[in-house]
Amino acid sequence: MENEKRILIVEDSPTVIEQMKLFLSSTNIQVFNAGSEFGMLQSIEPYGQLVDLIIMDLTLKSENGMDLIQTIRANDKYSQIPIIIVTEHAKQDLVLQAKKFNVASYIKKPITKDNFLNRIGTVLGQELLTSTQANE
Amino acid sequence: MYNIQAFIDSMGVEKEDAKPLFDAYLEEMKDMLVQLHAANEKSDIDQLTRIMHNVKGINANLMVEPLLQVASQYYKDLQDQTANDHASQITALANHYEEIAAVIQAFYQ
Repeated sequence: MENEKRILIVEDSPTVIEQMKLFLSSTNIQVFNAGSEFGMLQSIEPYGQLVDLIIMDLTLKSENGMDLIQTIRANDKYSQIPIIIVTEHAKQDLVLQAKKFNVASYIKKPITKDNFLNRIGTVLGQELLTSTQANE
Repeated sequence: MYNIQAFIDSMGVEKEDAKPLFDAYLEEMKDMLVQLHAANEKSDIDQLTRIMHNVKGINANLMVEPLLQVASQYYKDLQDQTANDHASQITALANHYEEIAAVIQAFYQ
């Protein structure tokens, strides 16, 4: 599909990945996921085309999300891909640090569907149907 | 007790569509309980704290209140360095997990 957007979720919790996929299941967004820097670099350009957006959990179990953002921004090819970070309210210092790397937005945990879709829709420039709208 | 239907309704999805999410949750929680036991055997408080951070996170995401309450208190105690008898805390978490797992499995029968 020509207008289909593609998102890479960098997250190492299978539960959170499934939840994000479920949130996005009512959209025309194609979802890829990776749980490490290696996986991220393998999945950032599926089928020869860069993803439209990266959702990055800053607190991965075995890697530092901030380091992964730096890796992306240091690569000319990937440096313009919008990034939304996922973090906790208590980690505002990480949000401020991430803003230095030109992140597009951030999502606070626990993740809610409406907030998740609103943030992604804003960054992608398209309205995504939230649960509130779906029930109307 | 966990209100699984209320959570699914809040997601705005169908019951069957949410099943992979609960399968992932049950598997990940089981893994983390094993990791908690291993960390406790090594008296690795940093690792216990890291794992409990993740336990708290996924239970908050899925609105599993009974487990979230126990996990949040244990995580806070670990951070405050006031946690003791880790084996009992982990056993309490495991017992709550078994109850939640039974609710989810009954829901999908």
